[in-house]
Amino acid sequence: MTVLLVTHDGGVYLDRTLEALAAQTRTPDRLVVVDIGSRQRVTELPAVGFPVQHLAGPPSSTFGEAITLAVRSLAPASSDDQWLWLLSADNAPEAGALAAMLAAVEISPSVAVAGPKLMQWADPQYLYSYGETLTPLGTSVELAEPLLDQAQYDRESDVTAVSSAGMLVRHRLWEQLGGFDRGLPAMDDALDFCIRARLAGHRVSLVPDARVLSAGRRAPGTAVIGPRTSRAKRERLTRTAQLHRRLVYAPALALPLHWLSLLPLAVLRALGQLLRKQPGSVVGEFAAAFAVAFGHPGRVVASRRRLAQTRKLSWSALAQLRLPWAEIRRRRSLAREETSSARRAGRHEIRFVASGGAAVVLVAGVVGLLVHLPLFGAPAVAAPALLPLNDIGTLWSQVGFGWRALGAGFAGAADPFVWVLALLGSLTFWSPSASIVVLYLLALPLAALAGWFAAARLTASPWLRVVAAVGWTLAPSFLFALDQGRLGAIVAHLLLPWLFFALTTARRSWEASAAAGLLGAAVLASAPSLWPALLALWLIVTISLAAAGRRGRGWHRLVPLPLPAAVLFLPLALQHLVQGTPLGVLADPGILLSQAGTAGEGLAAPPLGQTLAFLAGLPEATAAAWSASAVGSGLSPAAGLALAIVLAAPLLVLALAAPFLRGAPKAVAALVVAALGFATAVLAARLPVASVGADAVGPWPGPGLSLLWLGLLAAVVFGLSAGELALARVLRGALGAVVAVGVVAAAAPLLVSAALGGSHAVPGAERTVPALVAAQAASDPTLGTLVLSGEHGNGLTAGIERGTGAKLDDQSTLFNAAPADVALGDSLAVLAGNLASRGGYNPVPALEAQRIGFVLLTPATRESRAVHDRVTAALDGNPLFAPVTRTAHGTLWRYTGLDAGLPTAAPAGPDNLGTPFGLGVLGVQLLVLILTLLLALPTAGLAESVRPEREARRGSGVRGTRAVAPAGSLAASSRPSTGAHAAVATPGGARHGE
Amino acid sequence: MASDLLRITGRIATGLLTAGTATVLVLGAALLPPPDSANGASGVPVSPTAAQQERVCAGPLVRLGDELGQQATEVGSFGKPRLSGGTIEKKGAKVTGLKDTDVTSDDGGTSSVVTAPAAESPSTLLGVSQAQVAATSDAAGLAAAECTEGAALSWLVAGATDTGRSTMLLLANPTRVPAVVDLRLYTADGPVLAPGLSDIVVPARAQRILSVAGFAPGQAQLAVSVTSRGGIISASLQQSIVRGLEPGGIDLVGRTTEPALEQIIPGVRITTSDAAEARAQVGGSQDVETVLRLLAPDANASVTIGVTGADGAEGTSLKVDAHAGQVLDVPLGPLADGYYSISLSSTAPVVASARASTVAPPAADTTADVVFGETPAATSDGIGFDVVGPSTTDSSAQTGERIDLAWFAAAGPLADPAVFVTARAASPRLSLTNSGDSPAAVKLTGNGDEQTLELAAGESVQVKLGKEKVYLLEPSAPVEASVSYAGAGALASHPVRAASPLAAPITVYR
Repeated sequence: MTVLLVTHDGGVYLDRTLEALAAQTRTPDRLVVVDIGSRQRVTELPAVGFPVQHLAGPPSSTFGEAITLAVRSLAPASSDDQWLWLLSADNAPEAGALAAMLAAVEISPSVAVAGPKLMQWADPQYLYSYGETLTPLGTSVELAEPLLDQAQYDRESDVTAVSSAGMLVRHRLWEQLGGFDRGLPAMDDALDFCIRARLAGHRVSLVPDARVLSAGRRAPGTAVIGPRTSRAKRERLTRTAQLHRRLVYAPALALPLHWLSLLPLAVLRALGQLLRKQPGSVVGEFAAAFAVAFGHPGRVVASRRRLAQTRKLSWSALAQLRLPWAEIRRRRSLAREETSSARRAGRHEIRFVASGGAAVVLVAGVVGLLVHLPLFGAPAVAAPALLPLNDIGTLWSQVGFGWRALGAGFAGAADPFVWVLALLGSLTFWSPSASIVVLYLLALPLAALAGWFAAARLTASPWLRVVAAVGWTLAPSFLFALDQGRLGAIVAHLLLPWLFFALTTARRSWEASAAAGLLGAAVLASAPSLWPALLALWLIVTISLAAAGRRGRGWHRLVPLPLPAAVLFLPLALQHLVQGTPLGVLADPGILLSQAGTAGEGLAAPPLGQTLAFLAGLPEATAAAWSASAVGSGLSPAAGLALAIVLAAPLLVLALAAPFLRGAPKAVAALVVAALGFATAVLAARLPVASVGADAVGPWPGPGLSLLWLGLLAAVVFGLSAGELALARVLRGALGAVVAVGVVAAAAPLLVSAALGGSHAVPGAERTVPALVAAQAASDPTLGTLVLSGEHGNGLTAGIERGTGAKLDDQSTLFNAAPADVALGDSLAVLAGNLASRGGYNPVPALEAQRIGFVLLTPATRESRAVHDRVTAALDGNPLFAPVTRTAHGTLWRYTGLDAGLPTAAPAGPDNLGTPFGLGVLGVQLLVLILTLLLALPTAGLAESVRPEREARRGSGVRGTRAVAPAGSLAASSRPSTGAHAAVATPGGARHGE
Repeated sequence: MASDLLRITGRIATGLLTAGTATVLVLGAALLPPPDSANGASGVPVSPTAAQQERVCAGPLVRLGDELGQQATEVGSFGKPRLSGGTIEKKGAKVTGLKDTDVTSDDGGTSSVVTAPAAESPSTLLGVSQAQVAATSDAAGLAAAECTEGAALSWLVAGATDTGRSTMLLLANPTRVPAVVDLRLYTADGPVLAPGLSDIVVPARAQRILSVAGFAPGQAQLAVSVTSRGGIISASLQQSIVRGLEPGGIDLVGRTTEPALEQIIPGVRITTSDAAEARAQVGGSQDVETVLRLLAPDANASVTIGVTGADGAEGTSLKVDAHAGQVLDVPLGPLADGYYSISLSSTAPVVASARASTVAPPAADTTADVVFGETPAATSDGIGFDVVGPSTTDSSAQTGERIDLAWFAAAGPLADPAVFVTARAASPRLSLTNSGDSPAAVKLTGNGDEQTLELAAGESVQVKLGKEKVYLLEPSAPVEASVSYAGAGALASHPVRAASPLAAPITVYR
């Protein structure tokens, strides 16, 4: 009876095990210690009362190889009664363990392998492992659950397999079966051995009276698997072992099928890991599949040969021993209960209906409906910055890299905003423009919902949640965006609270982190001017959490946050760089409005007035809409601005006062967000990144102001929610009411004037060209209309719209940021300039090359009358153009050559799937987005219910935070031996060298 | 307790720090310099391809009815004008006739359009003028006018439709696109509302002739504004006077400058002032006197009129009030012979032109009753104010006097080189006025030589010109210029106009 002890940096575990061996009631005949340690080697062994042989093995050995080395040093088995007891450094046996096991195998000669009860090292009353078996499909499972040992498993005797720790095996059997499989270095080695033993006709049995300790995950193990092995690596080793066994056990005919299925199954399982929110295991799936498919062929063949040689029984011999499905289901339902209760720790309860959230959303819905009532049933919304959308097929063909039919047409990357439009349009796929109508009707309740949920994460007080929701819904930048039709700013305002809602738990779960990544991509796609602010926020938070050590735990989940947004923006940013307009990537998507046109002041607004307006949340300094409404019709712009500041003052004052109260760090963080938003707005108003007509414009300050508003509201909520005294509660109510009243009063004029029909967002049609052009375009969608528009000074804007006019998803920041000579090309500028003058120019070649059949001159404004009249006179006097009509869209002329038909096709290019680069871009974007979406889907619970994580129930062998019972940790044992653990070790205990 | 104090102090410090940072941020934003708003977007400057130059000549003089007065509802033309034109480099240009759709009988003359290739330099600018001397029993006098390009809006401040005065409106469309014309007629009583004034179609390459008396009969003061859409119209107005049985003059008037707060009429040439003054006392000859015709189209105006003689001699200064839409004739008082420059300054936009007449004694071979036995002075052919009429002290008329009238239109400032051609008419003279504040040097090239004229601020000069010669004016500062012709019983004038601005460069944006 030989004890084979494998130690790999065993440390204090080894000392205890040797003590336990020395204390056995039935002393072993000899002990072979195989030292495969890497950092420290055993130099001296204590006297145990029986011969000890000390072997050194290569540090990279597996357990099986170490045992084989030891066995080789023994004489070959001469009889069937020679036993081997396999122990690892942490398997300290109870005093009567060996005696019990030998007694058990003595009375059952057919038993060739016996296994003890493995108890947890830290708490020896708790089971760690007691027998292993297979599911009907071949997955290895533990037979016993890690509960308090109350002899509930003592009736089990015959099992499929036992653990390799504490395994008692006949020496002769070991030699016959050739030891553990070399292809199973860490997991399932004993399982495979026992299965082969069973198939060779022997029995494997459990011995309930024998107890051996095991340190579980913290066991020193071997070089392959040890206390420092990560969960992902363990999963990979488990999966590799499972696949190896599958290939070894499969019938010869099915072997090729199993081999071919390795990779596809790996892909499916990787997706499953994403659904289970274990993105770290994805690589392991692929690594395991590749390792078994390509790294193990020799081993698989050798194992199969060995199995064939020793197998006497068929596989049905194991059928009775496999875990039945009923038991599997029972275990899964238990696991489901455990995990679902563990996930809800540490947050405020949401309580949507009870806490007033439903009421706020309902009221906001009613107000929104009243304000936008004329839009009900309209096919599209017409506003200064809004256009209808293309049909769904064209919409989806615009994403990615493809042909942009703007100006003379060019191939370029689409704005990421086109993704948002495509998704929005797909909601009402029969008429995508109707989705904008729906968005308008639902804008206020959606904003209230978002604001309320974000506030629900910050505070438990229902009143403050309501105040925050009201403040968010009636944010001036939001109302201005709705009025002017700035769809990007609207979407960004609706999604910002959800982004912060997801960020609050992003550290703890991959689900929230992926959701935050997707929401961040959507917000940045809709409002690229927020890139600097959000990027700065991400950097600050991630770096400070990473540097905070334990308190910043989970910061690694924040690292991939910008990935979806970066993937969407990268092609566009590169093209902007190549074009020489690097800041153009920050330009607003969609239609740009000349700021002079909407507010009466251009980029040169006086800084002080603009700053004060920004503080009140107003994107435009004159606040023309605000002061011209019913209430303020007599107010001068300065007085209107002063009134707006006064109404916003409670919010500002309370936000600045929040750091004085309890919860200061959170309030300071909220104010940092607000400061970033303010800085974004200030810079946006001063940085020209694109041009519209003769004016250079910067991004609209609205999204920056939305961020500012978010920070201020969050600071107010943090400040007011501190304090539990009755006085605090009363103050909370009163001050919250003051803030709410201020916000409502500031927003009321806008809402009232909009409800009375003064809004710029009116029902529109799906075409933006006169009906005659639309009728002609119905049969010829590539027909172009040259659209001319007078500018102040001696200027003219020229553009080509094809089909039924320009659409919102056609727009591109590449075009808007490009200088005019690049964007227009030579021929278009010359054509427009000459058509606006009387001269000897022959426009026919240019008209036919661009397939232009109509010329539309937009209506004149006060500044553009001179140019408008000039163009009208010139075109009226041009025999090639017949004046058609004057409509709300402008004056229309028809090219007389249209009767004969235009010979050439319009300039066109490959769509987003046409070029390899386009395919690549689209493929990468889709891949990243879909993977992030899978990760973000709330399926963690679902996956848990389907396949509860095996190891989740298997603690690290140690329950709770109890330290290893022998004093001193593993790390301490690597220091020079001191008297620290002398108290524990027996005198003459093993001294460890360096 | 101590930890509480520490915590409270910490919070106060945090709060103050935050408030301080916020103030700094806001102040920084407020003090940040505003962006350079002069940087607009970049555009592509486009210079339109120049078209060939076109000048439209109104063609022969017209009258209602024929020589004998038959068919008085039909328009007929008589005589053929003499066209003179060309560029500095080359005299003569291509003439293409236009279709006179309303003319039923003619002597072979038609309105025409004169074309030349696009002008690359001032020496290739085209100038054309026409002149016709009428000598029939009901129309006599010199009608000389410049052939101009069309304009979308033309103001013709001339004409009368009372007894014996007939005014014809000539609308020529040289383009290949039909033009739709709207007329607005103003009289002393205000704008005229009459049917048929709008949407008059002038076919492509044709001229239409309308009698103003059909719209506003019996009016002594008239002004017309012609707006055209589609093809652009070159509008002219022909006024002829018959007093009793004697012809009282004929004139072909081109457009004057658009309504403005300042107007200049350079070079009003007064000849035979005594004879004209005497004749003006005679009943029925009030319109021999020199008047300034004013119209404030849209708003009441208070106008200050300054009449300056040659050599800077201060003439009269008047202040009148013009009512909106009412044409006002302001008599300029007896002006001695010479050249006068009239400047108007108004509180609301006005259009203006001046009318003067020349009275010559009857022709030598006609026996006329001479009331006072003075020998008729020798009449020479066009030495300007050398013509001396009989000194009369009696205000009775002499039958057989040859009277001609001329309308002097306001001239716009010429800043760019301009070309004009003198017609074949008596005694052409160029009058230049510098109405600006700084001296101007004007280079005049033509007729084989070149001279530079220096004008001080407010100064006017006159230059003697050759007949049927092409001249090029290159001013260094904006000046106003006009050409006048005067002979015995012949007086005409036309201002010097710059080329049309429709082919100016334009900037195209995206």
